[in-house]
Amino acid sequence: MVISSAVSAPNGAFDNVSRDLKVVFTGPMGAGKTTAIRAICEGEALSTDVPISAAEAKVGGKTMTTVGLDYGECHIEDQWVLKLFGTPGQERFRFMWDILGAGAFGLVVLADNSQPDPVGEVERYLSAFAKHVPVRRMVVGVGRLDSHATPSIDAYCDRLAALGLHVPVLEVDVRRSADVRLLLSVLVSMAEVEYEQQLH
Amino acid sequence: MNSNSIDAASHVSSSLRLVTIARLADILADLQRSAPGVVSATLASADGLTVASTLTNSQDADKLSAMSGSLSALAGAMTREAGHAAPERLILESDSGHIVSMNVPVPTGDLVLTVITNQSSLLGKLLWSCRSTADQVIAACTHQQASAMASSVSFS
Repeated sequence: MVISSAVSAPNGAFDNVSRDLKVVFTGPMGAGKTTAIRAICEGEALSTDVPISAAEAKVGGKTMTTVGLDYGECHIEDQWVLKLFGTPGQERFRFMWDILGAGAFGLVVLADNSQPDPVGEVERYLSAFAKHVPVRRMVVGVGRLDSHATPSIDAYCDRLAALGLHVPVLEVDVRRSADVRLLLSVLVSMAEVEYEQQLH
Repeated sequence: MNSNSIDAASHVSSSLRLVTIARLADILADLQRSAPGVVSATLASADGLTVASTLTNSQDADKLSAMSGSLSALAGAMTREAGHAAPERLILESDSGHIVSMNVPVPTGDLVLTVITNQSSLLGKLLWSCRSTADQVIAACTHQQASAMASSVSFS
């Protein structure tokens, strides 16, 4: 029998017992949300990917797409258990964004620099989740910077800051668990700062 | 109704021909006519794009198709987790009626048939009608595949 150590508090706030953090991975189709969760998940990740229809504009050599959710768990700095939820990327699955965004502590937006207007895409996802997650608990991971150098990380920061979205932007290769772990560490360090503030 | 269904299907899988999609729209219309209480019937691709629907508003059809894709994939993940075989259908029951969602495997890839009813539907009759509709859909898509193969043979 399994009994949850703590039921997540609403609005992603923490209680004194729970060190569970719900983190949502989102971003456009092909940015690597499923890959990132699989890269870092301890044990087997849960996926709901299906073959992409012929009508959908394919991204790269991608053949499968998430239509429900991805789920995996990982530990960061021993004391934090991260519950990782991946969303579908396409706009038509927006209802899943709200289902998965509810009660999330943090948000990871993955960008694919090879797609047109990746900064605009990032902004779209940041705004879509703003009602669930405060901007101070959002991070952006930019992929395929090695093959597509522009826009640069600085360009992301400048454009997002101009919109009042002061979020950390990091380069990431979603296939490398160390890269994904770094993104999550940034979120966790934000959690620790808030946790300390709550104690005092 | 046909024109609406084909309109809703304008972005559909190019692997299904327009003539097949028109046939699928007819099959859905038959279901709505013959089974009591059916409010709408929609066919979607497994990744949640509308193939055909009796709904006249294509936005409604598209929303329902996306949700059908998600639910079907989640149901599949759940039965996999439980060590069960792939789920044949999903039944949602409420005071307002039933929603039945069925996986329909066709040669071009899986489709999902989603039927919404009001309180006047009888679940047993509804499930039987959905099964028979799914069989007709499979037959129509298989027929397309067979005729496509026949024509490619004649051209070679």
